[in-house]
Amino acid sequence: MVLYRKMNMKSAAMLSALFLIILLYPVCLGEEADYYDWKGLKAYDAKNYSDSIAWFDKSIEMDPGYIDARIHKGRAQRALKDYNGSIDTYMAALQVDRLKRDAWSGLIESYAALNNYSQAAEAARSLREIEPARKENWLAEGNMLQMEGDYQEALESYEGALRIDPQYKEALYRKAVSLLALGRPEEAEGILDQILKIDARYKLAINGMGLIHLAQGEYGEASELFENASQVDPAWSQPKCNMAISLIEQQRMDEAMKIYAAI
Amino acid sequence: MRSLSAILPFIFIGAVAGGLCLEALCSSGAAASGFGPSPWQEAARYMDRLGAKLSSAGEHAAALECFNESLEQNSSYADAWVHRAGSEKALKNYNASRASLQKAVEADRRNAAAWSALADALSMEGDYENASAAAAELVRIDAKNKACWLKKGNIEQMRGNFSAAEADYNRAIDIDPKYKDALYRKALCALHDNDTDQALELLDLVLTLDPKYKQASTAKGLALQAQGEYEGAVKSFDKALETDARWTPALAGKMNALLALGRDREAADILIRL
Repeated sequence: MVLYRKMNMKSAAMLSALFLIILLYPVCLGEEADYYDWKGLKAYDAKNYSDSIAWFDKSIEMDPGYIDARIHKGRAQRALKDYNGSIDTYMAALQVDRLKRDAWSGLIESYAALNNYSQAAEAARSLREIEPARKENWLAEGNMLQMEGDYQEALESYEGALRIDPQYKEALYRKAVSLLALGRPEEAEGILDQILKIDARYKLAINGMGLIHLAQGEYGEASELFENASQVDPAWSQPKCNMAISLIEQQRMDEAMKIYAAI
Repeated sequence: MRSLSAILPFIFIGAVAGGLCLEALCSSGAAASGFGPSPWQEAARYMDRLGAKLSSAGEHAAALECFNESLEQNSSYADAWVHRAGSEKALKNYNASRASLQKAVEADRRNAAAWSALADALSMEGDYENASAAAAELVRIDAKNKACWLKKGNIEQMRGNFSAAEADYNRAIDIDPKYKDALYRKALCALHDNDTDQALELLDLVLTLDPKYKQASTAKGLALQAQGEYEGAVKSFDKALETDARWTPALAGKMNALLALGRDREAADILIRL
Protein backbone atom coordinates (compact mmCIF):
# COMPACT_ATOMS: atom_id res chain seq x y z
CA MET A 1 0.00 0.00 0.00
CA VAL A 2 2.81 2.37 0.96
CA LEU A 3 4.70 1.31 -2.16
CA TYR A 4 1.61 1.92 -4.25
CA ARG A 5 1.15 5.36 -2.69
CA LYS A 6 4.83 6.16 -3.27
CA MET A 7 4.58 5.08 -6.92
CA ASN A 8 1.45 7.17 -7.35
CA MET A 9 3.15 10.21 -5.92
CA LYS A 10 6.14 9.62 -8.18
CA SER A 11 3.92 9.32 -11.25
CA ALA A 12 2.00 12.42 -10.25
CA ALA A 13 5.26 14.36 -9.88
CA MET A 14 6.49 13.13 -13.24
CA LEU A 15 3.19 13.94 -14.87
CA SER A 16 3.26 17.42 -13.36
CA ALA A 17 6.82 17.95 -14.63
CA LEU A 18 5.82 16.79 -18.11
CA PHE A 19 2.78 19.05 -18.03
CA LEU A 20 4.97 21.97 -17.02
CA ILE A 21 7.45 21.22 -19.79
CA ILE A 22 4.65 21.07 -22.36
CA LEU A 23 3.20 24.29 -20.99
CA LEU A 24 6.49 26.20 -20.82
CA TYR A 25 8.08 24.91 -24.02
CA PRO A 26 6.44 27.43 -26.37
CA VAL A 27 7.10 30.21 -23.86
CA CYS A 28 10.79 29.29 -23.81
CA LEU A 29 10.88 29.12 -27.61
CA GLY A 30 9.20 32.50 -27.79
CA GLU A 31 11.75 33.94 -25.39
CA GLU A 32 14.54 32.47 -27.50
CA ALA A 33 13.01 33.88 -30.69
CA ASP A 34 12.85 37.28 -29.03
CA TYR A 35 16.46 36.95 -27.89
CA TYR A 36 17.72 36.03 -31.38
CA ASP A 37 15.72 38.88 -32.88
CA TRP A 38 17.35 41.24 -30.39
CA LYS A 39 20.79 39.88 -31.34
CA GLY A 40 19.91 40.43 -34.99
CA LEU A 41 18.89 44.00 -34.33
CA LYS A 42 22.19 44.63 -32.55
CA ALA A 43 24.10 43.26 -35.55
CA TYR A 44 21.92 45.36 -37.86
CA ASP A 45 22.70 48.51 -35.88
CA ALA A 46 26.40 47.66 -36.22
CA LYS A 47 25.78 47.34 -39.99
CA ASN A 48 26.65 43.63 -39.94
CA TYR A 49 23.70 42.84 -42.15
CA SER A 50 24.68 39.27 -43.07
CA ASP A 51 25.14 38.40 -39.39
CA SER A 52 21.85 40.04 -38.53
CA ILE A 53 20.05 37.94 -41.14
CA ALA A 54 21.53 34.77 -39.59
CA TRP A 55 20.15 35.84 -36.18
CA PHE A 56 16.75 36.69 -37.62
CA ASP A 57 16.66 33.28 -39.34
CA LYS A 58 17.37 31.61 -35.98
CA SER A 59 14.58 33.63 -34.44
CA ILE A 60 12.16 32.60 -37.21
CA GLU A 61 13.28 28.99 -36.81
CA MET A 62 12.45 29.15 -33.10
CA ASP A 63 9.07 30.73 -33.73
CA PRO A 64 7.81 30.83 -37.33
CA GLY A 65 4.95 33.04 -36.21
CA TYR A 66 7.26 35.76 -34.86
CA ILE A 67 6.53 38.40 -37.50
CA ASP A 68 8.90 41.11 -36.22
CA ALA A 69 11.93 38.92 -37.01
CA ARG A 70 10.67 38.51 -40.58
CA ILE A 71 10.21 42.26 -40.98
CA HIS A 72 13.66 42.94 -39.55
CA LYS A 73 15.13 40.32 -41.87
CA GLY A 74 13.47 41.98 -44.87
CA ARG A 75 14.99 45.30 -43.86
CA ALA A 76 18.47 43.74 -43.53
CA GLN A 77 18.08 42.15 -46.97
CA ARG A 78 17.20 45.53 -48.39
CA ALA A 79 20.32 46.98 -46.78
CA LEU A 80 22.27 44.31 -48.69
CA LYS A 81 20.33 45.24 -51.85
CA ASP A 82 18.83 41.74 -51.95
CA TYR A 83 15.45 43.15 -52.95
CA ASN A 84 14.04 39.89 -54.34
CA GLY A 85 14.97 38.13 -51.10
CA SER A 86 13.32 40.89 -49.06
CA ILE A 87 10.13 40.60 -51.14
CA ASP A 88 9.96 36.86 -50.31
CA THR A 89 10.51 37.66 -46.63
CA TYR A 90 7.77 40.32 -46.54
CA MET A 91 5.40 37.98 -48.38
CA ALA A 92 6.04 35.31 -45.75
CA ALA A 93 5.42 37.90 -43.03
CA LEU A 94 2.10 38.81 -44.63
CA GLN A 95 1.09 35.17 -44.61
CA VAL A 96 1.49 35.32 -40.83
CA ASP A 97 -0.37 38.61 -40.51
CA ARG A 98 -2.09 40.09 -43.55
CA LEU A 99 -2.64 43.40 -41.77
CA LYS A 100 0.97 44.11 -40.75
CA ARG A 101 1.74 47.65 -41.91
CA ASP A 102 5.54 47.37 -41.71
CA ALA A 103 5.52 44.35 -44.00
CA TRP A 104 3.49 46.22 -46.63
CA SER A 105 5.73 49.30 -46.33
CA GLY A 106 8.85 47.17 -46.75
CA LEU A 107 7.28 45.45 -49.74
CA ILE A 108 6.52 48.82 -51.40
CA GLU A 109 10.12 49.96 -50.89
CA SER A 110 11.55 46.70 -52.24
CA TYR A 111 9.44 46.81 -55.39
CA ALA A 112 10.31 50.50 -55.87
CA ALA A 113 14.02 49.70 -55.50
CA LEU A 114 13.61 47.20 -58.34
CA ASN A 115 11.78 49.89 -60.39
CA ASN A 116 8.77 47.59 -60.36
CA TYR A 117 6.34 50.42 -59.76
CA SER A 118 3.23 48.52 -60.84
CA GLN A 119 3.74 45.96 -58.05
CA ALA A 120 4.79 48.76 -55.67
CA ALA A 121 1.54 50.60 -56.47
CA GLU A 122 -0.40 47.37 -55.95
CA ALA A 123 1.19 46.88 -52.52
CA ALA A 124 0.55 50.54 -51.67
CA ARG A 125 -3.11 50.12 -52.63
CA SER A 126 -3.40 47.09 -50.31
CA LEU A 127 -1.89 49.06 -47.46
CA ARG A 128 -4.22 51.99 -48.11
CA GLU A 129 -7.22 49.62 -48.12
CA ILE A 130 -6.11 48.17 -44.76
CA GLU A 131 -5.61 51.61 -43.19
CA PRO A 132 -7.65 54.14 -45.17
CA ALA A 133 -7.55 56.70 -42.36
CA ARG A 134 -3.76 57.20 -42.67
CA LYS A 135 -2.99 60.03 -45.09
CA GLU A 136 0.56 58.67 -45.60
CA ASN A 137 -0.89 55.54 -47.20
CA TRP A 138 -2.76 57.59 -49.79
CA LEU A 139 0.40 59.59 -50.49
CA ALA A 140 2.51 56.43 -50.90
CA GLU A 141 -0.04 54.99 -53.32
CA GLY A 142 -0.10 58.21 -55.33
CA ASN A 143 3.69 58.40 -55.44
CA MET A 144 4.00 54.85 -56.74
CA LEU A 145 1.33 55.53 -59.37
CA GLN A 146 3.25 58.63 -60.44
CA MET A 147 6.45 56.64 -60.70
CA GLU A 148 4.55 54.16 -62.85
CA GLY A 149 3.52 57.09 -65.05
CA ASP A 150 -0.17 57.01 -64.12
CA TYR A 151 -0.60 60.69 -63.23
CA GLN A 152 -4.40 60.67 -63.53
CA GLU A 153 -4.93 57.84 -61.05
CA ALA A 154 -2.27 59.34 -58.76
CA LEU A 155 -4.34 62.50 -58.66
CA GLU A 156 -7.20 60.50 -57.09
CA SER A 157 -4.87 59.10 -54.41
CA TYR A 158 -3.68 62.60 -53.50
CA GLU A 159 -7.31 63.71 -53.29
CA GLY A 160 -7.81 60.89 -50.80
CA ALA A 161 -4.91 62.14 -48.67
CA LEU A 162 -6.20 65.71 -48.87
CA ARG A 163 -9.67 64.66 -47.71
CA ILE A 164 -7.98 63.56 -44.47
CA ASP A 165 -5.71 66.62 -44.22
CA PRO A 166 -6.41 69.49 -46.64
CA GLN A 167 -3.10 71.16 -45.68
CA TYR A 168 -0.95 68.10 -46.35
CA LYS A 169 1.96 69.79 -48.19
CA GLU A 170 3.55 66.65 -49.60
CA ALA A 171 0.25 65.53 -51.16
CA LEU A 172 -0.47 69.03 -52.48
CA TYR A 173 2.98 69.21 -54.10
CA ARG A 174 2.59 65.81 -55.75
CA LYS A 175 -0.89 66.78 -56.91
CA ALA A 176 0.65 69.86 -58.54
CA VAL A 177 3.22 67.66 -60.32
CA SER A 178 0.40 65.43 -61.60
CA LEU A 179 -1.46 68.47 -62.90
CA LEU A 180 1.71 69.70 -64.61
CA ALA A 181 2.21 66.29 -66.23
CA LEU A 182 -1.39 66.29 -67.40
CA GLY A 183 -0.87 69.63 -69.16
CA ARG A 184 -2.74 71.73 -66.59
CA PRO A 185 0.03 74.15 -65.47
CA GLU A 186 -2.39 76.90 -64.35
CA GLU A 187 -4.03 74.52 -61.87
CA ALA A 188 -0.59 73.29 -60.77
CA GLU A 189 0.44 76.89 -60.13
CA GLY A 190 -2.67 77.43 -58.01
CA ILE A 191 -1.84 74.38 -55.86
CA LEU A 192 1.80 75.46 -55.45
CA ASP A 193 0.57 78.88 -54.41
CA GLN A 194 -1.66 77.18 -51.83
CA ILE A 195 1.38 75.30 -50.42
CA LEU A 196 3.43 78.48 -50.16
CA LYS A 197 0.63 80.07 -48.14
CA ILE A 198 0.88 77.13 -45.72
CA ASP A 199 4.69 77.09 -45.70
CA ALA A 200 6.57 79.85 -47.50
CA ARG A 201 9.86 77.92 -47.18
CA TYR A 202 8.66 74.68 -48.80
CA LYS A 203 11.55 74.42 -51.25
CA LEU A 204 9.98 71.91 -53.64
CA ALA A 205 7.01 74.20 -54.17
CA ILE A 206 9.23 77.27 -54.69
CA ASN A 207 11.35 75.40 -57.23
CA GLY A 208 8.25 73.93 -58.93
CA MET A 209 6.70 77.38 -59.22
CA GLY A 210 9.97 78.60 -60.77
CA LEU A 211 9.82 75.82 -63.36
CA ILE A 212 6.27 76.76 -64.36
CA HIS A 213 7.29 80.41 -64.81
CA LEU A 214 10.38 79.34 -66.75
CA ALA A 215 8.29 77.19 -69.11
CA GLN A 216 5.97 80.17 -69.64
CA GLY A 217 8.92 82.43 -70.50
CA GLU A 218 8.52 84.49 -67.34
CA TYR A 219 12.24 84.50 -66.63
CA GLY A 220 12.38 87.30 -64.06
CA GLU A 221 9.85 85.57 -61.79
CA ALA A 222 11.49 82.20 -62.40
CA SER A 223 14.96 83.48 -61.46
CA GLU A 224 13.62 85.08 -58.29
CA LEU A 225 11.95 81.82 -57.23
CA PHE A 226 15.07 79.74 -57.92
CA GLU A 227 17.07 82.24 -55.90
CA ASN A 228 14.58 81.85 -53.02
CA ALA A 229 14.78 78.05 -53.20
CA SER A 230 18.59 78.26 -53.06
CA GLN A 231 18.38 80.48 -50.01
CA VAL A 232 16.14 77.96 -48.24
CA ASP A 233 18.62 75.16 -48.98
CA PRO A 234 22.03 76.42 -50.15
CA ALA A 235 23.32 72.86 -50.62
CA TRP A 236 20.52 71.92 -53.05
CA SER A 237 21.92 72.05 -56.58
CA GLN A 238 18.66 71.75 -58.52
CA PRO A 239 17.49 75.38 -58.22
CA LYS A 240 21.03 76.54 -59.05
CA CYS A 241 20.94 74.50 -62.27
CA ASN A 242 17.47 75.88 -63.04
CA MET A 243 18.71 79.42 -62.34
CA ALA A 244 21.61 78.95 -64.78
CA ILE A 245 19.16 77.68 -67.42
CA SER A 246 16.82 80.60 -66.81
CA LEU A 247 19.75 82.97 -67.40
CA ILE A 248 20.80 81.03 -70.54
CA GLU A 249 17.25 81.44 -71.90
CA GLN A 250 17.70 85.19 -71.39
CA GLN A 251 21.11 85.01 -73.16
CA ARG A 252 22.73 86.26 -69.95
CA MET A 253 25.52 83.75 -70.49
CA ASP A 254 28.10 85.45 -68.27
CA GLU A 255 25.84 85.30 -65.21
CA ALA A 256 24.69 81.78 -66.08
CA MET A 257 28.24 80.45 -66.29
CA LYS A 258 29.25 82.13 -63.02
CA ILE A 259 26.55 80.03 -61.34
CA TYR A 260 27.11 76.89 -63.39
CA ALA A 261 30.91 76.80 -62.95
CA ALA A 262 30.45 76.86 -59.17
CA ILE A 263 27.94 73.96 -59.04
CA MET B 1 99.23 38.14 -17.80
CA ARG B 2 96.89 38.11 -14.92
CA SER B 3 96.90 41.89 -14.62
CA LEU B 4 96.29 42.25 -18.40
CA SER B 5 93.24 40.00 -18.30
CA ALA B 6 91.98 42.04 -15.37
CA ILE B 7 92.12 45.35 -17.24
CA LEU B 8 90.88 43.92 -20.62
CA PRO B 9 87.18 44.56 -19.91
CA PHE B 10 87.97 48.17 -19.03
CA ILE B 11 89.89 48.60 -22.27
CA PHE B 12 86.92 47.16 -24.21
CA ILE B 13 84.39 49.40 -22.49
CA GLY B 14 86.60 52.40 -23.04
CA ALA B 15 86.96 51.59 -26.72
CA VAL B 16 83.22 51.23 -27.19
CA ALA B 17 82.48 54.45 -25.31
CA GLY B 18 85.13 56.29 -27.28
CA GLY B 19 83.74 54.98 -30.53
CA LEU B 20 80.25 56.09 -29.62
CA CYS B 21 81.45 59.57 -28.66
CA LEU B 22 83.35 59.83 -31.92
CA GLU B 23 80.32 58.77 -33.90
CA ALA B 24 78.16 61.32 -32.13
CA LEU B 25 80.71 64.04 -32.79
CA CYS B 26 81.00 63.05 -36.43
CA SER B 27 77.26 62.97 -36.99
CA SER B 28 76.69 66.36 -35.37
CA GLY B 29 79.58 67.74 -37.35
CA ALA B 30 78.14 66.26 -40.54
CA ALA B 31 74.76 67.74 -39.80
CA ALA B 32 76.29 71.12 -39.06
CA SER B 33 78.30 71.06 -42.24
CA GLY B 34 75.28 69.88 -44.33
CA PHE B 35 76.52 66.40 -45.07
CA GLY B 36 73.55 64.50 -43.60
CA PRO B 37 70.50 64.76 -41.41
CA SER B 38 70.81 65.22 -37.69
CA PRO B 39 69.28 62.66 -35.31
CA TRP B 40 66.33 65.00 -34.56
CA GLN B 41 65.73 65.46 -38.27
CA GLU B 42 65.79 61.69 -38.67
CA ALA B 43 63.35 61.35 -35.78
CA ALA B 44 61.05 63.94 -37.35
CA ARG B 45 61.11 62.08 -40.66
CA TYR B 46 60.50 58.77 -38.98
CA MET B 47 57.45 60.10 -37.11
CA ASP B 48 56.17 61.77 -40.29
CA ARG B 49 56.47 58.50 -42.21
CA LEU B 50 54.69 56.67 -39.40
CA GLY B 51 51.93 59.29 -39.42
CA ALA B 52 51.57 58.99 -43.20
CA LYS B 53 51.15 55.23 -42.85
CA LEU B 54 48.48 55.65 -40.18
CA SER B 55 46.78 58.31 -42.24
CA SER B 56 46.54 56.04 -45.29
CA ALA B 57 45.05 53.39 -43.01
CA GLY B 58 42.38 55.93 -42.02
CA GLU B 59 43.74 56.34 -38.47
CA HIS B 60 43.73 60.11 -38.61
CA ALA B 61 43.72 60.84 -34.87
CA ALA B 62 46.75 58.60 -34.31
CA ALA B 63 48.40 60.02 -37.42
CA LEU B 64 47.91 63.51 -36.07
CA GLU B 65 49.80 62.58 -32.91
CA CYS B 66 52.71 61.31 -35.01
CA PHE B 67 52.78 64.50 -37.08
CA ASN B 68 52.72 66.57 -33.89
CA GLU B 69 55.62 64.52 -32.56
CA SER B 70 57.46 65.01 -35.84
CA LEU B 71 56.93 68.76 -35.68
CA GLU B 72 58.08 68.85 -32.07
CA GLN B 73 61.38 67.42 -33.29
CA ASN B 74 61.56 69.75 -36.26
CA SER B 75 59.07 72.58 -36.47
CA SER B 76 60.34 73.68 -39.88
CA TYR B 77 59.58 70.33 -41.50
CA ALA B 78 57.12 71.46 -44.20
CA ASP B 79 56.06 67.97 -45.30
CA ALA B 80 54.92 67.11 -41.78
CA TRP B 81 52.84 70.33 -41.71
CA VAL B 82 51.25 69.34 -45.04
CA HIS B 83 50.52 65.84 -43.81
CA ARG B 84 49.20 67.20 -40.53
CA ALA B 85 46.85 69.44 -42.52
CA GLY B 86 45.59 66.37 -44.37
CA SER B 87 44.73 64.60 -41.13
CA GLU B 88 43.08 67.71 -39.69
CA LYS B 89 40.99 67.97 -42.85
CA ALA B 90 40.01 64.31 -42.60
CA LEU B 91 38.91 65.00 -39.02
CA LYS B 92 36.92 67.98 -40.35
CA ASN B 93 39.06 70.49 -38.44
CA TYR B 94 39.19 72.81 -41.42
CA ASN B 95 40.58 75.87 -39.65
CA ALA B 96 43.38 73.82 -38.08
CA SER B 97 44.08 72.26 -41.47
CA ARG B 98 44.42 75.66 -43.14
CA ALA B 99 46.61 76.91 -40.28
CA SER B 100 48.93 73.90 -40.76
CA LEU B 101 49.22 74.64 -44.46
CA GLN B 102 50.10 78.24 -43.71
CA LYS B 103 52.85 76.96 -41.39
CA ALA B 104 54.01 74.65 -44.19
CA VAL B 105 54.43 77.46 -46.70
CA GLU B 106 56.16 79.58 -44.05
CA ALA B 107 58.57 76.71 -43.43
CA ASP B 108 59.26 76.14 -47.11
CA ARG B 109 58.20 78.82 -49.59
CA ARG B 110 58.96 76.46 -52.50
CA ASN B 111 56.85 73.52 -51.37
CA ALA B 112 54.40 73.02 -54.25
CA ALA B 113 52.30 70.46 -52.38
CA ALA B 114 51.77 72.95 -49.56
CA TRP B 115 50.71 75.78 -51.89
CA SER B 116 48.43 73.42 -53.81
CA ALA B 117 46.69 72.19 -50.65
CA LEU B 118 46.47 75.74 -49.31
CA ALA B 119 44.83 76.92 -52.54
CA ASP B 120 42.30 74.07 -52.22
CA ALA B 121 41.60 74.82 -48.55
CA LEU B 122 41.05 78.53 -49.18
CA SER B 123 38.91 77.76 -52.22
CA MET B 124 36.78 75.39 -50.14
CA GLU B 125 36.24 78.18 -47.63
CA GLY B 126 35.13 80.45 -50.46
CA ASP B 127 38.16 82.72 -49.95
CA TYR B 128 38.91 82.84 -53.69
CA GLU B 129 41.03 85.98 -53.37
CA ASN B 130 43.66 84.28 -51.21
CA ALA B 131 43.17 80.96 -52.99
CA SER B 132 44.09 82.71 -56.22
CA ALA B 133 47.25 84.15 -54.61
CA ALA B 134 48.23 80.68 -53.36
CA ALA B 135 47.61 79.21 -56.83
CA ALA B 136 49.77 81.98 -58.32
CA GLU B 137 52.63 80.90 -56.04
CA LEU B 138 52.00 77.31 -57.08
CA VAL B 139 52.36 78.00 -60.81
CA ARG B 140 55.45 80.13 -60.14
CA ILE B 141 57.10 77.12 -58.45
CA ASP B 142 55.82 74.41 -60.81
CA ALA B 143 55.12 76.16 -64.11
CA LYS B 144 55.54 73.02 -66.19
CA ASN B 145 52.77 71.17 -64.37
CA LYS B 146 49.47 71.30 -66.29
CA ALA B 147 47.46 70.41 -63.16
CA CYS B 148 48.75 73.55 -61.41
CA TRP B 149 47.49 75.75 -64.25
CA LEU B 150 44.14 73.95 -64.21
CA LYS B 151 43.84 74.52 -60.47
CA LYS B 152 44.60 78.20 -60.86
CA GLY B 153 42.14 78.47 -63.74
CA ASN B 154 39.40 76.80 -61.74
CA ILE B 155 39.90 79.20 -58.85
CA GLU B 156 39.76 82.17 -61.24
CA GLN B 157 36.55 80.72 -62.70
CA MET B 158 35.05 80.34 -59.23
CA ARG B 159 36.00 83.98 -58.60
CA GLY B 160 34.11 84.93 -61.73
CA ASN B 161 37.32 86.04 -63.45
CA PHE B 162 36.76 84.12 -66.69
CA SER B 163 39.39 85.90 -68.80
CA ALA B 164 42.16 85.08 -66.31
CA ALA B 165 40.81 81.53 -66.09
CA GLU B 166 40.95 81.15 -69.86
CA ALA B 167 44.58 82.30 -69.91
CA ASP B 168 45.42 79.66 -67.29
CA TYR B 169 43.60 76.92 -69.20
CA ASN B 170 45.50 77.94 -72.32
CA ARG B 171 48.78 77.43 -70.42
CA ALA B 172 47.61 73.97 -69.37
CA ILE B 173 46.53 73.12 -72.93
CA ASP B 174 49.92 74.35 -74.25
CA ILE B 175 51.54 71.71 -72.05
CA ASP B 176 49.04 69.00 -73.05
CA PRO B 177 46.74 69.77 -76.01
CA LYS B 178 44.57 66.76 -75.10
CA TYR B 179 44.05 67.81 -71.49
CA LYS B 180 40.27 67.26 -71.35
CA ASP B 181 39.66 68.93 -67.96
CA ALA B 182 41.26 72.16 -69.18
CA LEU B 183 39.48 71.94 -72.56
CA TYR B 184 36.13 71.48 -70.78
CA ARG B 185 36.76 74.41 -68.47
CA LYS B 186 37.87 76.55 -71.39
CA ALA B 187 34.55 75.71 -73.08
CA LEU B 188 32.75 77.17 -70.03
CA CYS B 189 34.77 80.35 -70.57
CA ALA B 190 33.60 80.42 -74.19
CA LEU B 191 30.00 79.98 -73.04
CA HIS B 192 30.53 82.81 -70.58
CA ASP B 193 31.58 85.00 -73.53
CA ASN B 194 28.45 83.85 -75.41
CA ASP B 195 30.66 82.14 -78.00
CA THR B 196 28.56 78.98 -78.23
CA ASP B 197 30.23 77.87 -81.47
CA GLN B 198 33.70 77.79 -79.90
CA ALA B 199 32.26 76.14 -76.80
CA LEU B 200 30.67 73.40 -78.91
CA GLU B 201 33.94 72.88 -80.79
CA LEU B 202 35.87 72.44 -77.55
CA LEU B 203 33.21 70.20 -76.00
CA ASP B 204 33.13 67.98 -79.08
CA LEU B 205 36.90 67.66 -78.80
CA VAL B 206 36.57 66.61 -75.14
CA LEU B 207 33.87 64.09 -76.07
CA THR B 208 36.08 62.66 -78.83
CA LEU B 209 38.81 62.16 -76.23
CA ASP B 210 36.37 60.77 -73.66
CA PRO B 211 32.78 60.05 -74.74
CA LYS B 212 31.82 59.43 -71.10
CA TYR B 213 32.81 62.91 -69.90
CA LYS B 214 29.38 63.74 -68.43
CA GLN B 215 30.21 67.36 -67.63
CA ALA B 216 31.09 68.00 -71.29
CA SER B 217 27.85 66.38 -72.54
CA THR B 218 25.86 68.48 -70.09
CA ALA B 219 27.64 71.71 -71.07
CA LYS B 220 27.01 70.82 -74.72
CA GLY B 221 23.32 70.51 -73.88
CA LEU B 222 23.39 73.97 -72.33
CA ALA B 223 25.20 75.43 -75.37
CA LEU B 224 22.57 73.93 -77.69
CA GLN B 225 19.82 75.21 -75.42
CA ALA B 226 21.36 78.69 -75.69
CA GLN B 227 21.12 78.33 -79.47
CA GLY B 228 17.45 77.30 -79.12
CA GLU B 229 18.15 73.74 -80.28
CA TYR B 230 16.15 71.95 -77.62
CA GLU B 231 15.95 68.56 -79.36
CA GLY B 232 19.76 68.46 -79.69
CA ALA B 233 20.06 69.61 -76.08
CA VAL B 234 17.86 66.72 -74.89
CA LYS B 235 20.13 64.28 -76.78
CA SER B 236 23.23 65.73 -75.15
CA PHE B 237 21.70 65.57 -71.69
CA ASP B 238 20.71 61.97 -72.39
CA LYS B 239 24.33 61.23 -73.32
CA ALA B 240 25.45 62.56 -69.92
CA LEU B 241 22.74 60.52 -68.21
CA GLU B 242 24.00 57.35 -69.92
CA THR B 243 27.17 57.81 -67.85
CA ASP B 244 25.43 58.90 -64.66
CA ALA B 245 21.66 58.51 -64.49
CA ARG B 246 21.42 60.66 -61.35
CA TRP B 247 23.56 63.62 -62.53
CA THR B 248 21.47 66.60 -61.37
CA PRO B 249 22.75 69.23 -63.88
CA ALA B 250 21.88 66.91 -66.79
CA LEU B 251 18.50 65.97 -65.30
CA ALA B 252 17.65 69.62 -64.64
CA GLY B 253 18.82 70.59 -68.14
CA LYS B 254 16.78 67.86 -69.80
CA MET B 255 13.70 68.69 -67.72
CA ASN B 256 13.83 72.33 -68.76
CA ALA B 257 14.45 71.48 -72.42
CA LEU B 258 11.43 69.14 -72.34
CA LEU B 259 9.29 71.86 -70.77
CA ALA B 260 10.42 74.24 -73.52
CA LEU B 261 9.37 71.60 -76.08
CA GLY B 262 5.96 71.28 -74.39
CA ARG B 263 6.71 67.70 -73.33
CA ASP B 264 5.40 68.35 -69.81
CA ARG B 265 4.70 64.73 -68.93
CA GLU B 266 8.32 63.66 -69.59
CA ALA B 267 9.50 66.72 -67.65
CA ALA B 268 7.31 65.69 -64.70
CA ASP B 269 8.79 62.17 -64.87
CA ILE B 270 12.19 63.74 -64.19
CA LEU B 271 10.91 66.18 -61.56
CA ILE B 272 9.56 63.40 -59.34
CA ARG B 273 12.88 61.55 -59.56
CA LEU B 274 15.12 64.54 -58.84
